[in-house]
Amino acid sequence: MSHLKVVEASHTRYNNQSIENKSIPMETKPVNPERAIDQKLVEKAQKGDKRAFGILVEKYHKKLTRLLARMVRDQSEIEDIVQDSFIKAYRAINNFRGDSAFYTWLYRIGINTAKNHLVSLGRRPKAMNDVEIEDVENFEDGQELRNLETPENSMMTKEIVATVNDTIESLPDELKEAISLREIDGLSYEEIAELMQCPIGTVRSRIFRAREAIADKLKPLIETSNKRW
Amino acid sequence: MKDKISSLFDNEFSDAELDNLLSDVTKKKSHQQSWAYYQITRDVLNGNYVSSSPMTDKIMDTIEKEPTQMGGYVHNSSTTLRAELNYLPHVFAFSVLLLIAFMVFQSPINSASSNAVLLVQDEIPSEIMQAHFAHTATNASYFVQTGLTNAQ
Repeated sequence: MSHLKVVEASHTRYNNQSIENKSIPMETKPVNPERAIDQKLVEKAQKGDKRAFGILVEKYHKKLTRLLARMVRDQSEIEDIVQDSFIKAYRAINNFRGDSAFYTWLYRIGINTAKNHLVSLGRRPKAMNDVEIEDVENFEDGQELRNLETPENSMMTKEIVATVNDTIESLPDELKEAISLREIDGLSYEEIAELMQCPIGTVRSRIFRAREAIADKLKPLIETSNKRW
Repeated sequence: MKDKISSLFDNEFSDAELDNLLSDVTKKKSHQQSWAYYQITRDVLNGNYVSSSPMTDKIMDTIEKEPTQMGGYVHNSSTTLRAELNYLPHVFAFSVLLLIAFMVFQSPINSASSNAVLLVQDEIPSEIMQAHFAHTATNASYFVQTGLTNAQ
């Protein structure tokens, strides 16, 4: 079976089980690690570290874009709203108390910014009842955004997807399995170690090596500016 | 180090190393790029990748022009407690100083020698005491006189 088919099959399984998978670390660890990282990044940003906020931007701008694509149909408008939302979030970062997850807070800012934008243009904002606040953290839907892609972006998307899948296909079996279990099935290192019958350190190393192999292939395709945040 | 960034990306880290890891990611450009590539890989494998303009740089360019946010809400109670504990030696040292100062100011009043002087003063008639103090040089005049003598 080709890896692409494995990816497809696992993807469906991942979507169905995403909430269950995410609940595993919640039971073993008292604090959601993702939230702990975000909280630390927010605290750093509150102390003046703009680069820490840059990581939050990198982490969430696509997710916010995908969400807002359900309200706004024009890609350039969405990008403007996402940009405005992050700037508003940065300006208000000192008011973030950590009562909710950072992304939930950012999502509210994004929705309000989008609504204000649509009202200012005399358009009626679309209701977003299908994505409740509680579901926002688990929300992943690239389809909405894919519909708005330009032909150039669409070509690029296809090329990058093919590069990632081809690279994974060419990896040694143990690396391929480790990265798939992590990224597609959403398993923790501990669970992968149990499944692959190897130490956690080996799992960590295999996932890292797989990622680096993919990153090496992506570098020539994706222009990352020298000036990172 | 990059393998730790990969672990951090998966939320697989120990609490002790979180601060150092995040500092590393925010300081090193190569780590930020790795983070971006890891994110693309994740999006592709979950069927969520859509190519777009490099938004992070655009957003961060605007944020660079914003005034830096300082201070902020201290949420973590353990951080607050740690900050309070940092002040503990200073508070202790200040308390000791206060105690010593209190003892120094108290001691002459309670000492036996000062009581003895007071007792002698009581026995001597007041006019003799007034005459004595009137002819005793003040500290200032003593030093002025001594200084003049030395100069001559």
